[in-house]
Amino acid sequence: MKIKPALFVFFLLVCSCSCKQQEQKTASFLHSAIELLPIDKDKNIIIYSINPNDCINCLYGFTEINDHLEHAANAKLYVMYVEREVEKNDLIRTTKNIPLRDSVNRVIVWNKELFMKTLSYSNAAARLSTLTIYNYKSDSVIYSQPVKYIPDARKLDVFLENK
Amino acid sequence: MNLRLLVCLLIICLAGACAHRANNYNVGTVNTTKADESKTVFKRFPGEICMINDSIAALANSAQVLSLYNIHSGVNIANSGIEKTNFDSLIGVTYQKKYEGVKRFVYGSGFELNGNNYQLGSFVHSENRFFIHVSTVVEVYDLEDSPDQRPANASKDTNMIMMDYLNFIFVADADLKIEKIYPLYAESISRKKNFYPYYQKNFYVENNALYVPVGRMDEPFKELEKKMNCDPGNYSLVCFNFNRENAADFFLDFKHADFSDFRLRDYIESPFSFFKWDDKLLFCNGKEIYDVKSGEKLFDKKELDSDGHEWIYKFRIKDDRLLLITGKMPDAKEIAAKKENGEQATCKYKFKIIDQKTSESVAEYPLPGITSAIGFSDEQIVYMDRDKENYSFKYIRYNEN
Repeated sequence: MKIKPALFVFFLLVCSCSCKQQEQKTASFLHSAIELLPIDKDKNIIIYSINPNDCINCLYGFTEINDHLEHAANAKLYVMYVEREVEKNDLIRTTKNIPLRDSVNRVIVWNKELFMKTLSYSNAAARLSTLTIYNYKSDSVIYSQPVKYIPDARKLDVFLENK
Repeated sequence: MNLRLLVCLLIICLAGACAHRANNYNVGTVNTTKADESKTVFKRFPGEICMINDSIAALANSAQVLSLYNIHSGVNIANSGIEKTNFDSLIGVTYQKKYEGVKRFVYGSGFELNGNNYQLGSFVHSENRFFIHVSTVVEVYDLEDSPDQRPANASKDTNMIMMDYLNFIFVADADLKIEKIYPLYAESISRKKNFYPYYQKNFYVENNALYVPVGRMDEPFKELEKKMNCDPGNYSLVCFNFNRENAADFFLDFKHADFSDFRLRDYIESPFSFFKWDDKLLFCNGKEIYDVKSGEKLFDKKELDSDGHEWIYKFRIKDDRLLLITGKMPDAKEIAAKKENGEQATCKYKFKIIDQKTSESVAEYPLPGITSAIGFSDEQIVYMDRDKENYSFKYIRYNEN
C-alpha cells in the first residue's frame, strides 16, 4: 500500500501541533485560585498569608505592612491558615483592626492548603506568615517574603506597579 | 526436713510477691471526651497541660488564654482574664516609670489578631496559684544615648524601629482571677552576664522566687548543629525574686548539670521540666534529673536508650517510684518512609516506671501516637487530639497494685 505524500505531511503537522500543546505552560495554583475571585486582576495583587498562631512579632509586622498598604489601589487577598468554622467565626468576631470579611477588591480565603502552597514561593519555614505580590496576567510572583524578614513596609511600594 | 521445705516455700513466695509488685502496674485504655468550645475556641493544641487534680486540667490555649477544664466531662470551667489587660497603662506604671528619662516605650495598638496583643507562654501551678508568663512587644527608644530619640541599640545611621519584648508574670488565684502582675525587670541583670532567661522552655515559682532556664547570648540560633558551649562556668537556671527586682542568682552550673552531648538544636528543642518533691525542687534537662539547690543527680541519662534519641518529656515521683514520660523522635529515614506513604512520622512516647532508689526499670508501656502536650498526674496521663471538627481530651488511667 502506498501512502500519499500530502497525507504524510498532514500527519506530521497533526503530530507537531499536539506536541506543542503539551509544551504549553500550565497555569499555577495561584492563578487557578484567583481566577474566579471578584478582584481587579489588572494590577499586581497583594497576598497576605496569615497564620493567626504566628509569633506576636510576626503579626505585629503584618499589621504594620497592612496599615501601610491599606490605601494602595491593588486588590488584596488574605489567605488564612484556618479551616474550622468555629475558629473562623471566632477570629471574625474578635479581630479588631483587620476586617476579615470580603469587601470591594478584598477577599478572605480560609484555606490551609492554599496558605501552605503560597508559602513555597518564599521558602518560608513552616507556617510563617508571608507577603506575596503577584501578577495575574503573567502568572508570576513579583515578591514573596516572610513578614518577619520585611524591614520596611515603604520598600514594598515599588513592587505594586505593573512593569 | 519439713522445716527446710517450709523455709524454701516461704522464700519462693516472698520472691514471687516482690516480682509481682515489680510488674503489677495497671495501665488502662484511652478514654475520650469532646472539649467544650462554647467560651473559648481552640486554634491549636495547648502548649502546656497541667493536671491540678484527678479531674481538672489547666491548659495554655492558643497562646492567649489559660483555661481550666474537667477532662472527664470536657467542660470549660474557667478562663483567665488576661485579655482585659490594658497593656498601654500597664507599661506606663511599670517599665515606663522605672526607666523614666532613660527609655521611652511606645505601645501601639498591636496586632490585635485574635483580639489580643500579647502572648501567653508557659505557666506554673504552685502554692495553689497560677503563675503565667505573658509577653508583649513595644517600640523602645533610648533617651540617654540619643537626644533625637534614636531607637535603643540601633546604629547611628538608621531609623529602624527597635521592637522589644516586655515580659510579665501574671499571678492568678485558683479560679484564674488575676491578683498581681510582676514586670520582669531583673532579666537585664542576667543579660549583662551573657545569659538570657528562656521563659519558653518552662519555669517554676516558689516563695517569690522564679526559676528560669537560661540561654547564652553568644550562641546564635543560626548555628543549631554546633555543640553547646559546656564551659563549667555556665549555668542551667537563673532565679529572679519578685521582692528583689534587681537581683539574679544562678543555679545548676555545668559541673553538675551535663549538657556535654547537646547540640544547640537539642537545647532549644529538648523538653525542660520541673517537679516539686517534698522540700526539693527538681529540674530535668530532657535527659537527667537534678536537685536544683544541691546539684545532686537523681536520674542518669544512661538509663535512657543508648542511641541518645530518647528524651524525658515529663516526670514525677510517687512513693518510691520515678515516673517518666519519654519520647523518641523518628529519624530521617523513618520520616522519609512515612512521607512516601502519605503519613506523618510522630514521636514515640513511653510511660516508664523506675525504682527511684536503685534506678532499675520496673515496667514500661508504649503510649499511643500523641501530637499535643502531655499532662501527668499521680493517676492519669492526659493529652489532646482533634479531628476535622472537634478537639478532644484523651486520658489513660494507671495505678500500681
